[in-house]
Amino acid sequence: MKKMGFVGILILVFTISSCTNTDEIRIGVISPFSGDGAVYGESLKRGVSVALEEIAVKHPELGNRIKLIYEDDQLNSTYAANAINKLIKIDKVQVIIGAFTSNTTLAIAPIAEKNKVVLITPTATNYKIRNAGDYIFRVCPSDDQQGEILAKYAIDNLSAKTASILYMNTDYGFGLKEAFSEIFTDLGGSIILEDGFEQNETDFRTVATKIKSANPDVLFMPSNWQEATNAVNQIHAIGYTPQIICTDGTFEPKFIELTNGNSEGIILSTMAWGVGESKKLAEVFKNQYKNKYNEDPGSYAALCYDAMKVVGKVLEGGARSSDEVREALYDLDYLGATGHNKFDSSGEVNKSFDLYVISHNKFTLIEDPTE
Amino acid sequence: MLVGQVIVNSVIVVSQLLLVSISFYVIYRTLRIFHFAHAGLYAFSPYLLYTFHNILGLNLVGSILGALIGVCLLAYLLNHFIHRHLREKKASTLVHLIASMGAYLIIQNMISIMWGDDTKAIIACTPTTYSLGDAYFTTIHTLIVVISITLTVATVMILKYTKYGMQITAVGENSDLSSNLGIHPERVYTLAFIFSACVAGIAGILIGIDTNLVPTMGFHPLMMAVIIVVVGGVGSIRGVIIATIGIVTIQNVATYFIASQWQDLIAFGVMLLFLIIKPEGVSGKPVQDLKV
Repeated sequence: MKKMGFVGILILVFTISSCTNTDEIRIGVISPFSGDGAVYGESLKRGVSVALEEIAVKHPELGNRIKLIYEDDQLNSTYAANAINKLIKIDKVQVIIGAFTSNTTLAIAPIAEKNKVVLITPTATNYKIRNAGDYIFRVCPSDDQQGEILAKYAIDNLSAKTASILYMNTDYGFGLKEAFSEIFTDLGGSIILEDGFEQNETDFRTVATKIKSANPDVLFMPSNWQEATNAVNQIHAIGYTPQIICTDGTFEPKFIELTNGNSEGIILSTMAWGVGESKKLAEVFKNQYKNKYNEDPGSYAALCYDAMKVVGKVLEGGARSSDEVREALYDLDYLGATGHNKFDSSGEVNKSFDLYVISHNKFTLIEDPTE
Repeated sequence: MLVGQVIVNSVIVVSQLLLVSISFYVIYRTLRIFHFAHAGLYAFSPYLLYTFHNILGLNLVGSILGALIGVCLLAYLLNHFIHRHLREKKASTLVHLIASMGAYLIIQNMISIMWGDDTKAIIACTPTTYSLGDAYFTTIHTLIVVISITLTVATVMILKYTKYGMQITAVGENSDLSSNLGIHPERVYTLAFIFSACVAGIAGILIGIDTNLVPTMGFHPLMMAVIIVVVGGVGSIRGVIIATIGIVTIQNVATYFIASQWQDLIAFGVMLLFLIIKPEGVSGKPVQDLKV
């Protein structure tokens, strides 16, 4: 009898779970929510939630039907692949937002492409994603744009002849390193030392020593801000103060706080968001984010917000299947918090970068870098 | 080549790792298990310090003491509620190892939930830099080196000359026989757990102050400790010390000539070489009781 009851409950559970609302529009979200990258997953979740709330207020009939299914990739390509397979095969999603990093996105892009599911990455910037497939989109600009701007600035404005590169050995760091060194050498500079470190590395003393004895004009450091924090602090601890150039991964207020003075004079680029045309929309987003989470959003959260808004826009247009969504995305021109989300034929956007210098413990905009 | 700086760098890293590997070794010596939860304890103590000092605003010394008491308590609980039961059931070392890994994951995720995943700093001030020729180092580095040497010497003395140290060796060799000779193995286990947690806690605090806190900060030092204990040879604290110095020096010198992303690979390479050529490790003691 006991067994029968158990089987009965099982059947009941299955019936209930298979009777879910067929009107529901499921969207998969893949990002690290635990482990080392959990802090990124958190900002993605927040950006996406703010966007979804906005959609639900404006279009309740649509917003309330959207169901986000979060999957944790722990920054690991294998987990990301498992997650996307689950989302496609079990949850039958047509659209996926993710993954957060270039590594994981490059791992899941072929799976999305093969299954003809639209994948929109908010933050993966590696140049290889351009050719990842017809169903792959991104709302952030590619690394080669950024590498080029920084290399030009180093040559033209800092009159650098030699550079060393200390890169994080991920698709993000490696891609930026390649982009920077290509343009830098094309413009007549030479790279005198290249060194990589693993994600989560905390010991930079010896590599800092090595750079000190190479003594380049500039030190280019494409990295996440956690690693960059220790690297910058340890470079200073060995009594060396080179001109450092960082990338958008380091554009984070906590970086300044934790380097506490050591980051003075560092030049870095980040996607220009909340300026020009998109200023008004960005303010709206900033206010909502601040009300909800009591802190200012970073550019990652803004990109994730835009990614969700882009999905919302095409769903509003009536697109449901992945092919409809894909077609609608190619036709879309949506002005979001981070600029124009207008995809070219490879699913790329063209957004501009701003250059900043850290001075008096603040990111200060370098007004016109060409001067 | 800035030889002086490379030497100073190596000394700093050796000192950091010595604390971790010695505390790890004490548990290994006693229980014959790879105590993975050690990495959790290592990360837990600086987070406790962060809570007492930065959130509650208590003074630094009191906070450090509080954090160390907290981490010892956690180690006691781990032993009392997990490993003691497993020993009663005569579980194999593999079961202990898996339980310990589980405990590590729980502690690490608890830290994530309670304190969040973003990087935390205990003392956010630019440290004073000293120079010795062309080599530079900071206050906290000096502190790490001094404390590490003191604690290492103390541990060696305790293991070799005190009653408790000899009991640890005895229980590690044969717990049944030692209980026949009037030693309470359970008491020794508890003591070993608390002692090693305390040393790991000190290491975590020192390194946390130097390179900030993230919930996963304990895992990498733990991996290094495992390598060091294997290379150093089981059952010899002298082997552990030699292995720490050797591996760190090889890593730092190699990093100077090849890219630094190979650091870990070099350490694992050294371990593999030892397992193939000299499986008994530096200390030369037989390896038959190296389980897992």
